[in-house]
Amino acid sequence: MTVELTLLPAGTSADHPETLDAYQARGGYAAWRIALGRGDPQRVIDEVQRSGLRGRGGAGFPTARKWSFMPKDGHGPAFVCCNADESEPGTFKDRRLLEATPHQVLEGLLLACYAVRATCGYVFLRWEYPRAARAMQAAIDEATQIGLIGSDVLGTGYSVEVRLRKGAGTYISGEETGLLETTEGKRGWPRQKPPFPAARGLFGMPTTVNNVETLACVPVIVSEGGEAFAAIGLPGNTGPKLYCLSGCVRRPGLYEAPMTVTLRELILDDRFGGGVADGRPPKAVIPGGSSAPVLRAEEIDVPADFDHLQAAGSMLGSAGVMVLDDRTCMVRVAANACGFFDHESCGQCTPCREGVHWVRQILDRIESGRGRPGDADVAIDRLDAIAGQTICPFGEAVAWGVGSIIRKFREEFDEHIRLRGCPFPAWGFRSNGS
Amino acid sequence: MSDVRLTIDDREVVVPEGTTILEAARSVGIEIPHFCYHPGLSAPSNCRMCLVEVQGQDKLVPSCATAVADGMVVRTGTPRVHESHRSVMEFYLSNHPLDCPVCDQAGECVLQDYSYGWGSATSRFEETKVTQPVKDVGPDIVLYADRCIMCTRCVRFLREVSGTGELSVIHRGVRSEIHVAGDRPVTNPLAGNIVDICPVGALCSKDFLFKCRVWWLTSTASACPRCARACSIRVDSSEGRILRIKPRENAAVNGMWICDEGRFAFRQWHGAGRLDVPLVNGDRGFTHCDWDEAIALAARSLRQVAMRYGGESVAFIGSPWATIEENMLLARLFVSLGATMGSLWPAPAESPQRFPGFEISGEKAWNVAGARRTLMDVAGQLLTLDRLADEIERGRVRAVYALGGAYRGALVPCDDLGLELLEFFAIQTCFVTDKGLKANLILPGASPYEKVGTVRNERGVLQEVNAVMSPPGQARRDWDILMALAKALAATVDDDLTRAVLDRPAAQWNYTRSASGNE
Repeated sequence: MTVELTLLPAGTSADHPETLDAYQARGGYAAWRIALGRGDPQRVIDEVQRSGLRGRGGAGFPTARKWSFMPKDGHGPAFVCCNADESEPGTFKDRRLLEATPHQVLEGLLLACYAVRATCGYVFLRWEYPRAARAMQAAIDEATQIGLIGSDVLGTGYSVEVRLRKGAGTYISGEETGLLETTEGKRGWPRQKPPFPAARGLFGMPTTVNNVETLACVPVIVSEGGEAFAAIGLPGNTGPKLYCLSGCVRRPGLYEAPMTVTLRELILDDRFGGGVADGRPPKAVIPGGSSAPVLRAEEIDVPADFDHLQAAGSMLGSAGVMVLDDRTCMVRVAANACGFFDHESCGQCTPCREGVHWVRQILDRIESGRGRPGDADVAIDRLDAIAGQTICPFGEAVAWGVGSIIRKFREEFDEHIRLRGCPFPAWGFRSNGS
Repeated sequence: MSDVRLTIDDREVVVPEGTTILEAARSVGIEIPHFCYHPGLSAPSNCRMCLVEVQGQDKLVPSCATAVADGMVVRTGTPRVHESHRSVMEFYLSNHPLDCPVCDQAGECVLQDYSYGWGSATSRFEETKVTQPVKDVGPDIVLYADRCIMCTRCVRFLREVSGTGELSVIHRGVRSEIHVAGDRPVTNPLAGNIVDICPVGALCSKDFLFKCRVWWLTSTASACPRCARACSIRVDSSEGRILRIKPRENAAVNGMWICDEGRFAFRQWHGAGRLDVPLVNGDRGFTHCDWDEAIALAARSLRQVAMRYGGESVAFIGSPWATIEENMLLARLFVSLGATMGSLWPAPAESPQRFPGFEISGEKAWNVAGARRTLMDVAGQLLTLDRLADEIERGRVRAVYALGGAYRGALVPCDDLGLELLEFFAIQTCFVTDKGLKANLILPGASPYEKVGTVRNERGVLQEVNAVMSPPGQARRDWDILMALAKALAATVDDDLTRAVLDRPAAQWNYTRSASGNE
């Protein structure tokens, strides 16, 4: 049987989590059996290496390389954490995978555990996804029942457990080390790196953290071979990719495409967004969630992949593509994003804790007509003072995301200050409410 | 562990493997500014004040959490590093109330100090400051949350050293706040240390609050009399009054901390009930007398007993609250009179209290080891109190002269000593309540905070003790009382004695800098 190379298989729906039987009927857990049958964890890593799979959580780090950092000769416990704390504004791809095809994610997690010789896999799920939690727990239970998880899996001598952990509702628990702290039952405060999780992670043991979508790609790579996966897209940007399309677009939603697709195609093509809402011209696109620098309308003829977006000064990030039309007030967009980050800054380290709140107040003032000349400069200066100074990448997320809006649409900020108010209608920007 | 060789600000530094950049720099006198780092706690690197430049690294690195590596080249004073310090200070001061004029910490505040180095006289911050409440977090500790810079030293201390965990952080981002659960205030025996290690004026001691600006304080290095650990302390006083006590860092004795019993022990020796005149026990009970009379009486009585029954019928009892010198003078004086029997009051015994990062001794006097060793050295032997009681009962001991000096309420165990069988019993002590001792003569001595000398703690470490104030009223230092007695006893004290006593083993003093504040 040929397994479909897709993350959105036909017949699956977020309304009904795929059962174990249904998953196995379409080739599910074949990869798990193959890998265990081969009896060599390194072959899983090699296959993923051939596939060119890069992390889907935001940074795009090569998955096989991340796994290779795990100690090969460890004797104690080691862990793989599935990062299901999808919290980036404009991002809803992992939710679909967890709610519709939980077994596929789980199989990916098991393969990752095997590849790095982990003794236990953790699924760290955001509190706001109760349906995903139910689906994932049911999947874990089903797989455990038929012996795909547990001690001496399928008589191979390999033992692995999988545990589900839920967060308490905070963005920062999705940051790799914040996730580890929260999983340990502590406050979600990121850790200073080094030491990196592969050296000292969950409960002080070697740990790998992988995104849901990343793991969902692994079974098909193992069963169909890395080359088949690498055949999709371009070298360095391989495999199917989920895009979360939101904002001023005719058909917002979750779409799968190879990473050769351009932002313009995602927005305008009838297979995807079908055009900007109300036939307006686009003004800007945020291609990878609120942390990704904004692109102006003239910059969107770029393939939505890791490398091209980086070259364009932005990033693929979580592939949360937010479309903003010409009626959108960019000051309000910046203030809204900064408000989110102010609300979510964990408060552990000084530049982020104090700085994001400061900039948020400046942006709110400008938007409400109380801006003063020089405000935008102070905001940019303070954002730049956050980037590179913090414990975790949250600082860069704010500085790059919000900072890029001020830099690229400076004229709108100046206009607000000059007019002492917002020249845009209040309904211009539709927040997705994350 | 092997050594690592690196360069900090063009200076070659060699430190053991695993040392952090901040500590390596400190070892050669280069101070990297920091708030959250404390040598006695884990380093979360959350303040971001200690970022420095490491050659080959794009980002500045937190020096408190970065281990040194061979060949590493560190720069702590480049424009980029200074700009980072200035930036962090601007962030800190944006929401800080800047209420130094009414803040207890002013004058010893790290934020205040650094603002001279990296602060700005003007502010670009024109927004609304986040305001936070004043919170009662324990019987002696109040939190001015507004001034808090979220370094989490207090939280870490309570988790890592006391192991009690009363404080935690609640809320998030700029609204983060140090929090105490309502039904679990900070009451652990080490609580006061969190006031010491708070780098700003957020955690204040209610006892010291608004009592004195810190620059009017006189600091005296001494040792804590409260238990046999004899922690190194700094006594801060003003106009002859002790206002607060803080630990001094001393790896051989107490590390960086002291307990609250020791912190407030001065109250146990000072205030109501202090004996400040000599008391003689006559037909009408205890009456005041002057020093000449008191010393003459003591000398006369002791000489009479010695002449009638022999010098060995006079015994002495040393004290674990007296210094080595005082015990030595006592023993040598009485040995010179012919005494052969000496004893030592035992210190009150309690259970030791153990914490993850500290231990409080159960022997409640500072110089138990020093007194015992000194008395043994001079007298050659030391009787237990039971043996001494035996000798008194058999009539072989007819007079006893004792040093006392216990804290208020700590009665020496003399009930079974048979003091009523003696022809003469005198004691130098601190409290009128010791009248219960049925002594013929009670001489007002000095508290541990009023004397100079040396003590030896339970681990054998010798420490210098310094006087913070004079004894109250007519009370005298115990050394002076013994010298007066020696003189009255026809000067059997030779020069050798005083020289031997005063020639203190200074080289063995373990005497280091203060552990409080930011050090």
